[in-house]
Amino acid sequence: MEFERLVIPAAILVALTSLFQPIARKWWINLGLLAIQYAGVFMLLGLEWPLSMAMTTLIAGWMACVVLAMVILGMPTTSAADTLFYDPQRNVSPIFYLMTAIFMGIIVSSATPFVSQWIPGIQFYQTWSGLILIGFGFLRIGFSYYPLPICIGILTLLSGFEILYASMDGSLFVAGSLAAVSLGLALAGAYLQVVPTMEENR
Amino acid sequence: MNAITIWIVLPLLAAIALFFIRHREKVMHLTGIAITLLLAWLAWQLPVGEPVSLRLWPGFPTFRIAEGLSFLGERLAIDNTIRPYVLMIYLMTGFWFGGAYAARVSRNFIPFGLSIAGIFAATISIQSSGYAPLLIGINALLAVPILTPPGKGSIRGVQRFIIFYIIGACLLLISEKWLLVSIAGSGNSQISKVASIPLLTGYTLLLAGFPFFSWIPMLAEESDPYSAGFVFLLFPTGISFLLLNNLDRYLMFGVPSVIFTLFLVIGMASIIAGGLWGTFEHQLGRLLGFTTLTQIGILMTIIGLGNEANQTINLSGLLFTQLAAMGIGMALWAESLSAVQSKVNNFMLDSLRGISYRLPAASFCLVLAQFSLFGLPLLASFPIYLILWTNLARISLMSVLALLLCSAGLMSASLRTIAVLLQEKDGVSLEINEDRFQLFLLVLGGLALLITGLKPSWLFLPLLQLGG
Repeated sequence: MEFERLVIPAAILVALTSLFQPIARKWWINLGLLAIQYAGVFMLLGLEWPLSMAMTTLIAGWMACVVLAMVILGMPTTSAADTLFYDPQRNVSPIFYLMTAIFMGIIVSSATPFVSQWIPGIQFYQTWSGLILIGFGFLRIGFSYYPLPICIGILTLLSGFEILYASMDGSLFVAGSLAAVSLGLALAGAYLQVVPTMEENR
Repeated sequence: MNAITIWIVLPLLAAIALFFIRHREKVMHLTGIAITLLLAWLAWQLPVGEPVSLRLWPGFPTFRIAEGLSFLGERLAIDNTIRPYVLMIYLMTGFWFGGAYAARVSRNFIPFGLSIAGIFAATISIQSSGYAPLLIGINALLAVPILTPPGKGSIRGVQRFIIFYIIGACLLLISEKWLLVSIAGSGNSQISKVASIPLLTGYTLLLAGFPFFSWIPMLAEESDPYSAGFVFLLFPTGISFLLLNNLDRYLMFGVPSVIFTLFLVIGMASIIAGGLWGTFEHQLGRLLGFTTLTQIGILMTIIGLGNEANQTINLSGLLFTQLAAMGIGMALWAESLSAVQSKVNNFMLDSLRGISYRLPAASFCLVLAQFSLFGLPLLASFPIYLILWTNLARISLMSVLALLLCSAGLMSASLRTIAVLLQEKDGVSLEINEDRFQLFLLVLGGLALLITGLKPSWLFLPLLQLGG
């Protein structure tokens, strides 16, 4: 598959999806954006890894989205689910978030040429999208309170790391383990979300 | 037969089997203890790659344990140099499982604990150890059900624990790859210098050293003390073994030896931070957290001393010794807190007034464990403190003074605990409310601390020899 032409669209895709996730107020928009983000990550990984290995990340990411969606669908009301992603009492204002995100974007853009020097064989847009995902992942983790959005933040951060790391290592073990970590993260996030309501077993 | 099958595949399969019988608690606990101790015994007695003769009957054939196998293109191998680490991992897991039933831990504890031990064994056995951090990341996720049993409300410490571990694992992965790149580029020292930054940060994040320790007191406050104690003990154990196993390789790859000094500084900062915060802490769970921080600081300081004291220190042996003393002390503290938990809702000192009249053994052992971990002479941890002070004094007397002040601060926290536990309420008479098994374990733990302190050579000499 020809991934070279898709680098810039994929970079824009992952940047926009990770940027708008924290200000989306509906749970299904959040998870939809995460699923689309994984498609962008897949395109960027496809530049370095064989199709089957890049596909592993895509499938693991989508399975993670399904796991998170199943937890939400098990909640009593959809408004309760939406509160997890946008709680007016806990979340910062979208304007403040966007300002921070712009600041992060500036830092990432200025750091990209420097980081590219240290990662052999990586393209500029790969580095940029990897760092953007890491930066926005950090913002998501920092600005969230509930387990599910924090889990999405860690998944975003991990996707960014995968893009940077893929150009240095094409091992099957790495692809498999990173997919296992992504799925495990989704399961852990789902568990942490429901654990307070579960029946005590001792 | 293969070493990987014995020490990694079988425990993981056993963990899955135990998960399905978790409703039969006694059976599950006993099986878990038996499996871990058997694996530890095998790691002690069974040589890898050499002919083994069991001589069960005349003419019983000899066999040989193969070192490793390949998995997803990577080779995992346990040879005789790694066996002591595997032995320590299973011994400590079995030791902690021993008190789990009395501490009334959740049903997830044994199966997930065993799988964590198995994966730590895999972590140190993976040949291209650059990939080991991935397994540590998986281990952090496996710890989630242990730390947050069903019905648990507060989970912020666990969230932070996962975040720190995933970031730490990513940093270690990238630094390992940079080191390999530097070797491929005929020893590009610039890359290896840059790689040492994520390397140090990654290990500090994973070991929860200063300043990345915030999840420890949070977790100690939120989670069941015995389960949290298991994570506080086994995770630093596995990660310090990984670090120790790779130190020579890092130096060979061009990481500057100043990294030892930095480990020393971070270790001392962790001891001081734990000591300072612990001195003013009024919640015994959080105090256990800060004490853990000081113990992790000692681990890091020992690793840092590896270079300063160079040939005079048996690094592995000293690390094993510290882990043993830390393990006994923390287990006794956590077991005592679990006994206290059955009588009071929280571990704030105000809620524990006069508790020693209702739980005398637990209260006594709690204070004994505190004294030991804070370095009181004639208790288990004192010999380690003595070695630490002696070696640090060669570098800087001020640092020894700072550490002594921290120990003194923590001692004052212990004295405050004693004062509160002994505060008599009107009409209270002394009664033993611990159950028999709990009482047995507490007495055993207390005796272990005293005997190890009075006769350190009994436990520590074999451990030093094992490390040597």
